[in-house]
Amino acid sequence: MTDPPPKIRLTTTTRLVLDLFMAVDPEEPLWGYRITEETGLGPGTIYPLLERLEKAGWITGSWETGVPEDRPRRRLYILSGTGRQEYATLRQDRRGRTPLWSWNPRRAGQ
Amino acid sequence: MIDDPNGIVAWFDPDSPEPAELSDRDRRGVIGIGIFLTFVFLSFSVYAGLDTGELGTGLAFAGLSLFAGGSVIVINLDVLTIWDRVRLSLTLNLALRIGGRARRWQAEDWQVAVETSPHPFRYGLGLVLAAVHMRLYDLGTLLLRAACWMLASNHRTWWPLGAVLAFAAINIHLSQGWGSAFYTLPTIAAFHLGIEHLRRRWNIKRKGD
Repeated sequence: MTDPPPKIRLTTTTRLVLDLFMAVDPEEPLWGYRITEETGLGPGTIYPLLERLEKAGWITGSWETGVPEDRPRRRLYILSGTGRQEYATLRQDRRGRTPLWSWNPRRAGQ
Repeated sequence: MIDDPNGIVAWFDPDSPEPAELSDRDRRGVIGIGIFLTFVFLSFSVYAGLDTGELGTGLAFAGLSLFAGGSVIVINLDVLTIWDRVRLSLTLNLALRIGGRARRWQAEDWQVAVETSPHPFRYGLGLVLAAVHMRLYDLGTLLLRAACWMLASNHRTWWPLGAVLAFAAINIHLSQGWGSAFYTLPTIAAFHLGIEHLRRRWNIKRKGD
């Protein structure tokens, strides 16, 4: 039995990583170490997230090609069309949602 | 096997898209060779007056034989001392071991990341943490699937829960009397509400609905 794709929740960490994917050139892939460097998050956070995003089909992973024989290959990731679309939808939903408990200083004085 | 002039050695087939797995027979062979070489190196180290180099190599073989569950990675960066190379190799292999067989294919990527990082030990420990997170996520997924399976049927949900609640009510009755046992009734209502909430939240359709 194949596992169903994991549900992606828009946590701060997920948004940081996806924003990085959105910011880079679509043709320019990212890899685990570079993402940890760019976001300032540790590998303990990044690699499990990359695994979930790849399983959900939000990012596409491939092995680096044309690598010199003297070093191992990197796993390169690019944001897929599905990922781009789903992320935009989730962000839109998030903006439209009003929090259950919120305090607005402007309204407080009224 | 890739032999890197910079000092990184990994047991992989470079043409294969995913690192090759060792068979059980090969793994037993690696463990046997590891134990034999450990014994030889340690004996030699003791005979030669506990030289750090030989002892380190012996310990490296010991570590590798212990972690020979599949692909074995040896970080052998020239800039590091032999003890640091052993520590780093063991950390990376520990991360791979914790991650499980299904994630062995990430070995190559993790190795190059550790090698690139200016803080390889910290990065290696981060990878161990990543492997633990992945395993916990796997466990969580498994538990969630089991919970969904139970909640999808009233029989599967209420038979075990009913048994537990009946046992609790009888236990309270025996120790404190019927007055206290009566107070288990709100618990049943709370369980009912909780179960209905979970079914709605996880979008579970009951059998026969």
